[in-house]
Amino acid sequence: MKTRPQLFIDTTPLKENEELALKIYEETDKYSITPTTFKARKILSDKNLDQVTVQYKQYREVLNQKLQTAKKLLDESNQIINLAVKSQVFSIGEGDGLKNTNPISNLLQTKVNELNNQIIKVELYEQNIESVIYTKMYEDIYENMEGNAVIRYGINSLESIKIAASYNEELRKLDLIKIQGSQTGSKKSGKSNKEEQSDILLHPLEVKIVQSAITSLQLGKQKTALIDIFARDDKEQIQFDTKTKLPETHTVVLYKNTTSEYIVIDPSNSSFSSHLACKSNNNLIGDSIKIIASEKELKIYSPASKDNIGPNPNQYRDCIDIAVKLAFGLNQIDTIDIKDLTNLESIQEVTNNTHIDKYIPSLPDEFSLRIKQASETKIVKHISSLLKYIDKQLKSFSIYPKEGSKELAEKMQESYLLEKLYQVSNLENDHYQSGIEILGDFKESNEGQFIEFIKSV
Amino acid sequence: MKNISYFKLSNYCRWNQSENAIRIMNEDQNIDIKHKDGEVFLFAIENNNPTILNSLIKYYEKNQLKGDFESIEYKIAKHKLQQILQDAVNTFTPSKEIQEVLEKYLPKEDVDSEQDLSDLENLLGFGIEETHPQIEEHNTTTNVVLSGNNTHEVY
Repeated sequence: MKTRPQLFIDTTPLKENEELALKIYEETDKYSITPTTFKARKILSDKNLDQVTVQYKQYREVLNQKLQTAKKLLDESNQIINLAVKSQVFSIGEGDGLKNTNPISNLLQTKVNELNNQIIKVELYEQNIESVIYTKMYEDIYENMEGNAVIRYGINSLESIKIAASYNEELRKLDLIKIQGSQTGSKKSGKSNKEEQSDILLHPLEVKIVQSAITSLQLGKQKTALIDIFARDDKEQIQFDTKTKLPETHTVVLYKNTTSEYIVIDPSNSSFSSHLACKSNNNLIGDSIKIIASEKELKIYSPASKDNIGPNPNQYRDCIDIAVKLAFGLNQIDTIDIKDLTNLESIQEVTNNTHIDKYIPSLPDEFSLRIKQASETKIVKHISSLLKYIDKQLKSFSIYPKEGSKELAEKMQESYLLEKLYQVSNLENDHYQSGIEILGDFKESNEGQFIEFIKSV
Repeated sequence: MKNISYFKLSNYCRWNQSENAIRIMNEDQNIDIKHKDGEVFLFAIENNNPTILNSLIKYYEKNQLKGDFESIEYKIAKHKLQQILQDAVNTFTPSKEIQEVLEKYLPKEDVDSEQDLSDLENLLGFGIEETHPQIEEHNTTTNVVLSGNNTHEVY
């Protein structure tokens, strides 16, 4: 039987068989997060969206001003070319060609088009603001054994169906898809170029969520909050899950670096959420707030297959689970250098990326090795140190300069990759201690075998 | 389950052990080295090991880039290799030696007007961030019965 968390409404505990508790369990049991870390849920019913409305209006005005400047410059640039043609600086015919290829005019024309598109999008979002009132956000509180907590500002998927569908419909009507369609890109944020941050505008609901999270971080002691964003396709539309038919959401960590600077840390792929840090969204979120994200593509945790994510031992963890574990670790850090994310212990401990944690081997897809992201910090640290030790052990054995050592080292590798890590990968949450024992015994046995080998040669 | 040779090769590339990596490739001609987004290539580039990188490319050419140059299979396999190497270059800054190995396999970059546009934006003041009045929070928090199904299937 699964261990269930004690749920609360504020400070009043909920009994396990109460209807509300059962509903929460029904939902949270689908997450791969260990239930004990889920503490409580509050629903935020936001009736006041005046600030977001003002923010969009002001941003549209700024874009309009830029557009006027760009148009004026474009006119002037074209006039200069015309004058040059008239005053016979160019021979007949040459001027026309120049007009078409003039790089400044071309760049200005691109800018005018870009600003026009941006204004249309802002207007579209402005139209959607009212609908957000009917979509409830919620706060989930997660807490691990050390009392380390993080709040998640979530999007209620069921209630957001209408706004997501109407937004996509408007987007199609405006033919923006055609304009944006040439961009190829990642599933979540629409761009694949690793050095380029996507400029997808946040939906008013997302703006509200980020603002709420920032306000809570500014007032509270915690360094992190979790925020839900809509997953976007490569045409900027809000993506719907093909199975559940609900808008797809993605959870990311927002880390308070200073009271004015916030870092977006994506548990799966930084390109899914890098648009949060673009200039337009920084403008929308608020004055004196700077949101930044990794410029290089960073994949902290990737499941082998999208279809194998869930709470079972043989399944990969979902982004909420990874985000919570990351937040627990990042809560202990005072400041972060965005360029140094991969060297942070809390990221290395949680990751399944062999380029970030350089001591984990590449594994068959069937091995989720969930123990590495256990909720108990003690287990995570113990497992990390065992994996590191064994990796160093096997690495050094494989270059030992004696005949027969390579064969022995390869046998150990096979046993590690196919047998030991398989056993450890398929453990239930409450059997992680035995995983530590399996790897501990393997480490000892390797050492014993190698000492015997050295003696024999 | 993938061939065990693949996982050994992956370890040797990660551990930067050229001799062992080459030995495994010589022993087994059926290793799918583009597995896991071509991570073995990334290890070679990350470790600045042109010997392993060269051997991996040669292995790929020998075992995967086979057949008619005009065939779809050949073109797909070539594109896959280019994609892997391009991703690696975007992730890690390659050394001069690595760049020399990669040169003939990477597609030539187009001259992009993005940078020009960005320079122009800064010149004209488009790049300057605007300021807005401070937002105040007016959330009304109520405890409401959990409504609906909030499944979040992601990735």
